[in-house]
Amino acid sequence: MIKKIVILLLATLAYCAEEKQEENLGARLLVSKQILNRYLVETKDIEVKYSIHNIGKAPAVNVQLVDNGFNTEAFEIVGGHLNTRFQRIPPESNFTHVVVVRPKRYGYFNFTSAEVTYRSSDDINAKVQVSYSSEPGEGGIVAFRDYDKKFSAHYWDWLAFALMTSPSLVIPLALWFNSKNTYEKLNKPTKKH
Amino acid sequence: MSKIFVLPVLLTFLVGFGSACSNPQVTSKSFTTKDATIVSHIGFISEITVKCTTGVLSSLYAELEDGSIIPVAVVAPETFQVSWIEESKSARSGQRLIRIFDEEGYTALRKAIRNNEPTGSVPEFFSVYVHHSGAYNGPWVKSEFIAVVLSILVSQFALTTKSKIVS
Repeated sequence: MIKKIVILLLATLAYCAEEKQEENLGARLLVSKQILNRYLVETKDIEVKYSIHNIGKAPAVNVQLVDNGFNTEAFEIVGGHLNTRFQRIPPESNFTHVVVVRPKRYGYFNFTSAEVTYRSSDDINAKVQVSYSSEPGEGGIVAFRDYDKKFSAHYWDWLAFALMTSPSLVIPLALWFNSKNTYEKLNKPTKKH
Repeated sequence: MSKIFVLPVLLTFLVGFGSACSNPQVTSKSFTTKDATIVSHIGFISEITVKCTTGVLSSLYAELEDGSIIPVAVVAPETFQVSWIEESKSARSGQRLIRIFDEEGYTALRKAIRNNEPTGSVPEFFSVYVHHSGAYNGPWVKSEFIAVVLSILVSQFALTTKSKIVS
């Protein structure tokens, strides 16, 4: 009986060790999702960067990066793709994937994580891993009108201001210039005599 | 005996050559972010469509201008995406050359790097350009500044004319 238990224990230990070794040898992907914006503005670009690091010792095979966080009702995808596949990601390498979206409306939005599935080695029977990227969290998308009010060049506003103030400057100037001309004309003949 | 041995080798070669993409027709379109007042980095995205006359493409790798080698994303059948970011301050406008390598080229590239040889000597599968027309960093002159200069000019004109009349 004791012999049986010892054998069973040893077998479990061996299995655990093997599994751990397999984990260490296989590919391991770390994925971060970042929003590279100073301001989130309605109808303006939002740049999403996915950084993928393979910290494992084997290439990650058939890597699917899917981000379902931007639905087409609220966002327009203007550059890049949210559903991508990488045939192989070499071990100990890192790179970025960039997507640019434009929000169709303003308000608070929760930027959720992207999902990554991959095979941890070249072996067809290798375990399919599922991992999630980091979550940028909630961000407030500002209405374009408010953003424009704060950050636009205001050229038109100043032009309107100049046009509105010009009558109060130009009318007295014109009147004065007119009267000056008439007095100069009157004065000129008297000077000749 | 030798015949039996040669046949599988020949077959593997034939299969290998048959599956490789030959005579690829490449079209690409690029997208870069243009408003640097909103984003902190400029995103460069190149979408490449590759049509092979025969065979299919396996994995592709791209060498960027800074020398980094990245795997190319498959976004749709025959469509690939290469993307990276640059600091908005250091991102110059103009063309960027991306060299694309297939599996064989990538192996040669890795070998060249390992032997400390220049990677430029490794022939690429094909190359594409990404055009960046420059990003908007805000107005050159602030409108407030123009308004101040104009008002100073007007008041100076008024004051000089007044002083002339008085004297």
